[in-house]
Amino acid sequence: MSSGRKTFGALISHDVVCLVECAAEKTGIRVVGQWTDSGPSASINDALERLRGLLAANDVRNATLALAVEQFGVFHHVMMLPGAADDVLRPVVRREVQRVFGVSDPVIMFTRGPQHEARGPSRADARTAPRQLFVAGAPRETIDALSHGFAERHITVETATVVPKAIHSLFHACGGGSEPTAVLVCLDGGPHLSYFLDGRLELAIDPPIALEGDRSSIPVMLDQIERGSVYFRQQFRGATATRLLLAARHGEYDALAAAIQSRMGIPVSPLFSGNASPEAVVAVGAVLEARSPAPLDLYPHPPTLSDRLSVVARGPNLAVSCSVAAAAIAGIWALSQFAALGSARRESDGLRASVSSGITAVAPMREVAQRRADFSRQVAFVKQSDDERSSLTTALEAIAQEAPLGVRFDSLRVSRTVDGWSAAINGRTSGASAGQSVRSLDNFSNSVRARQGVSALSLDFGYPASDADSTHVAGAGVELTFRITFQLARDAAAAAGGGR
Amino acid sequence: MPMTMASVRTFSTRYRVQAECIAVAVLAFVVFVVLGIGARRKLVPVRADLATASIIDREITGFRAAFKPSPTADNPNVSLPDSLAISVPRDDRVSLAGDLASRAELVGLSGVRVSFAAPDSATAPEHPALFSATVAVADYGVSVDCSGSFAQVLSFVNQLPPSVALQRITAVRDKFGSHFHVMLAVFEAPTTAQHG
Repeated sequence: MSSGRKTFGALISHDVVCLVECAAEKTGIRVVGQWTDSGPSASINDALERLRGLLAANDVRNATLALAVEQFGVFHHVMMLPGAADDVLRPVVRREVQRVFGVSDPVIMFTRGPQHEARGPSRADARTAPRQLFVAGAPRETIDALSHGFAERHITVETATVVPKAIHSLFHACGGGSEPTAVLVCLDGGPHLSYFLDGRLELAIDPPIALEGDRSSIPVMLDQIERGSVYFRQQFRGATATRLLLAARHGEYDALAAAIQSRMGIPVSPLFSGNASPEAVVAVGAVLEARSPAPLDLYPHPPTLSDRLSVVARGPNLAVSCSVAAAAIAGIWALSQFAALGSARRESDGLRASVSSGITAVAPMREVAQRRADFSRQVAFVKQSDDERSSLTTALEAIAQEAPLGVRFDSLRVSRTVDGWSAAINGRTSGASAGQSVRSLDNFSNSVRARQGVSALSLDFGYPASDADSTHVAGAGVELTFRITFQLARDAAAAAGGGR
Repeated sequence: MPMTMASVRTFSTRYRVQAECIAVAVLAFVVFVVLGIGARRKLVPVRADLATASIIDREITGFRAAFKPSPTADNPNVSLPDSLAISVPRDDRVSLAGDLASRAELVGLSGVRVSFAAPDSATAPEHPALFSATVAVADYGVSVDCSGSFAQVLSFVNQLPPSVALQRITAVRDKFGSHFHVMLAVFEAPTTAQHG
């Protein structure tokens, strides 16, 4: 039973609509209340409307409902077929039903009963052993009418079964047993007779055809029991029901039970204890059928998620599902790329606007900063120029002062180079002897070479071309002419100049 | 089972709806993939631009945060003194020549002659790089010929204005004394004067 929701069972038939509220107990199920709307229904829709009326009259909401449907084209059948999958059995059952009942396109449902292995142990195989199938069917219009159900009252229909299967569930719920048993349920539409052997429902006999409102009398029911017993005995190797379970109206139960006992000689006991009417008993059976592991259910339940998935993930639908899933993933990926692109563009546009406004805002600051930088660079350039000149003049002055006695310069040329300065000094040196003159020149060139930053120093010397040279000093000893060239690094000159 | 055209045709005939769904899904897959790849390719330069703009934005933010205004120093009317002018407008070159002659005579040099000449063949001096103006070495030079002592000419060199750079010094001594030839490069501001 569903926790928190009330449980109802109902019988819908041409002659009566019965609603039962059930409550679960440790020992089984208990009828809390029953409501009956007697009278013929013109159609299944009419009967369902009457049931809805009963539900509304009792303000039933948010409940579960199990239906047992009689008449309106609903039929049932019991078959014995080898064990096989539903896909294999379904067309076999459909053809058999069409053959037996002559219905062109019914809705058919079936459920499996117990196995009945008749082969010897060597040939026995549980997979293919004959198995009882309970089959129920109805015209598609009837099922469609059921599907227009009770959603507005939040009522969940658990099952819509047939009367014999409801009796079957009731039989087992009430103890059942393996004893050959006949079950007679006297509904308004006529008596339903079922035979059980070893606990199996072997035979279910519908009520005899009768006129509307013509209720079966006790002799008619006795005749039906007799015919049913004969058929049961013939079909099942002489089996004879040793008891009869009866569900009849309170007023006719005793007379009917006594007549059966006297005519058939078998004990009669109630199918369901209490004051429940036969219709209510069948409704309770429908509730029990809904609780069974494999109910015989004609109700068109919407497919569950697993049903949908199993349909989608099978056969060609699997390829469709995979391709659609791949397309969906590609679509999501493409959308994410476009979303990222749009986001990046928006962010970029926003940032550009921010940068643009920022540039505009900092333009005066930038101008000030550039002016500051220009000031700094100008000052640095002036200082650099001063340092360069100072270092050069200091170096030249120092070289001039380091010239020893007897050395004099005739010319000096200094020109800018990439790394510093290129210098060339032409002059004369005189001494008492040639050795002294050369020594003085050597000392001078060494002192120049030793200066920091001086490189590539070259010294050439010789003798004056003639005494007629205007710079020759007569009587001063030996005189040499010389030429010194060297490179003066700018940085080194600056360092040397700063140090001296 | 190998897939052949015949098997595909059989499948599409037997499962027409499913085959159409698969075809539409494959078409959608291809379209989505193509569009997605296109968007992804467009995304690369956009992200690069975004990174660049982000860097610039950070620099601007950092600059604004670090900038400290100084009402006195940042006044546009405030400029460096003329002694720190690092360039001379072409129109002022005669004034420059006069200034150089005055400085030479001031240090005691005699026979000073200042003249404009072609730029010296020696290496051009490095010129300053400024934001607000372009300073370049002028296409003319200034030569200063004078007589005097070596110390005087060195003093003259030390007192040259920042707008000129020493290119060459030639000193020759004869029986009449020492003669000097100083070749100078001029920094010129083609557009505006660079008085600070």
